[in-house]
Amino acid sequence: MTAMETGMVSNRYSVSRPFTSGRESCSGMASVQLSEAEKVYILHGIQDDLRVDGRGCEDYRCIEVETDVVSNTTGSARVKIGHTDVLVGVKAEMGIPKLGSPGEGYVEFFVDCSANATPEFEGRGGEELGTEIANVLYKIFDNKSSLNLKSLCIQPREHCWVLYIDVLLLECGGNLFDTISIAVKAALFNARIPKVRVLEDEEGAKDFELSDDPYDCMRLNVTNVPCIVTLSRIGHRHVVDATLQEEACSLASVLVSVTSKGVLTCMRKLGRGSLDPESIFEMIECRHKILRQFLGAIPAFWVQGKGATRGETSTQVPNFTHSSLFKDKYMHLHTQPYSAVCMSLSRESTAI
Amino acid sequence: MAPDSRRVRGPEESQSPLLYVPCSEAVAEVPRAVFARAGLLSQASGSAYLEMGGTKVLCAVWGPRGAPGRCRLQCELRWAPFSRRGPRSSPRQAGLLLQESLEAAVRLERYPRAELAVWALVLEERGCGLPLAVSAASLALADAGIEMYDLAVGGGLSRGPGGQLQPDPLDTEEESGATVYLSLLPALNQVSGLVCSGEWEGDSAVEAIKLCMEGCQRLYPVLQQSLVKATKRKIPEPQSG
Repeated sequence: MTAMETGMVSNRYSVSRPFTSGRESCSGMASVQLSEAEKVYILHGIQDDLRVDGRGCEDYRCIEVETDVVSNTTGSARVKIGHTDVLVGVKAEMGIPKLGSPGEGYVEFFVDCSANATPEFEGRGGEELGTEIANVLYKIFDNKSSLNLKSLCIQPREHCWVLYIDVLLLECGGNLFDTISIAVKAALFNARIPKVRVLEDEEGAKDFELSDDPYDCMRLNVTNVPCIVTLSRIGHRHVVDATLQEEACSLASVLVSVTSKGVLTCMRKLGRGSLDPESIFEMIECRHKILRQFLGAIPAFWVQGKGATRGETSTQVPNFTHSSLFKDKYMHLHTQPYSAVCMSLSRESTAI
Repeated sequence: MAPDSRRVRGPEESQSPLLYVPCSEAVAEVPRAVFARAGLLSQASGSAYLEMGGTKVLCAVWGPRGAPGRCRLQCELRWAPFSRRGPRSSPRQAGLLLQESLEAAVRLERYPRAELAVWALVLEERGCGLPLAVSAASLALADAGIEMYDLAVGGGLSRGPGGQLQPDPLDTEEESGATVYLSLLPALNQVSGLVCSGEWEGDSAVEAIKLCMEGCQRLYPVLQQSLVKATKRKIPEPQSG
């Protein structure tokens, strides 16, 4: 075994390497300090497929999704996985289409790392992590199928909807990327973009008419919006949904974004270690198992839910009553007992 | 209002002329010709110049120089303003990708309280700028005499509209669809960097990564050779007799 493998890949001996300070990648920003004994404990547990909180290597923690939480936004969602808490708001504003794609709207991401999550984010401390997450989000949406941008176009070359997606980190408990991607998907599902009619008079002057009725809106098809699965390499195995402690033990992880059909839309290696090619292939293969476990529960709501079943991208939602629009939707995906995902959907229909 | 005499103002509804520039349908020869040279900047600790097809990358390494804390690898990757057609700036956070690819190759623990600065500049971009910058940067690090586990060799690949995999794609091919950039430590057979974009169905991603790794293995001896040459240039011939 070369020095490289012992030091960086197997992690077995990596505990003696200094882990602290310096620019750690992404989740390392909000890292915890662990003693060597703690690291060895976590490492040995993972080798036996039993993690500190009782999960197996490929089990998620309980995922809580809550939509329609901020009234000022077009769509919003809050997602909690363990101690990770993320709030996402989508705001639709009118803008000018980009030159390269005159017939499409576009999406802008901004990630705000609030100092509530960790004191390291104070001032400009969270900026680097924020831009990194935003870049990953741009990347997973950088293909034709994940979001139909054509439906956001109002008038080619002139007007389109711009979706500003703001991510707010409220608490960091590991696995930021996965949590954020679920929250973005939920917020896009929740988004209701008002319908616009373009009126043209005899001289060719154009005028816009926004519908007075708040229920006359279009919704986005989020079936193909990918979710991120981060697989952290710890010891000779990989784990999903790593906690902060586990992330501190991992030198390299692979971020895979998958759609509900199992198509990869983005893949990245994170962290400063290197990986064996075979282990990367193993991780890519593993997505199917995770998809069954965790994405399987979500589309049940997001695909068969009110918005998306009505066919294509931007269908009008007819007869949308007040009560069903402003329902407080609260979804609870629970991994009981850390293996089977069951979903309970409580819909309190409090009519406004 | 007086017209602005300093600039020619186009009609109100004007578009960038670049929108109407036809894309060249050039197809890259495979494999693209590579030129590598290490140690060409006299003032930097180490430097390298790498050319592949029309893509040209210059990289300089400064250090190790004193800095508090653990050793840091400070990487910056820029595209020259004239590197490609159209007003395109550098891709976001390219330096971070470069850093991630190199960190696994450099023995940072051997340089406590020091900092290594890596500056890579893409002079001309005809596809594969990022992977070439990774190769150039590891060549420059080796030229600077920094202790490393292995050279990090970058490789790129894109999938054409017909689904065929094209190693070392041109910039026009890169824009068309899915791409993979990978950096490999060939002697150790370890992947130190991986960026994949676009849609990959089924096992096509695995296949692409394997093909990419083959490309890296082919580039490796070229880099080694240029390092040997640079070292020979630095060390004078031993006097015979």
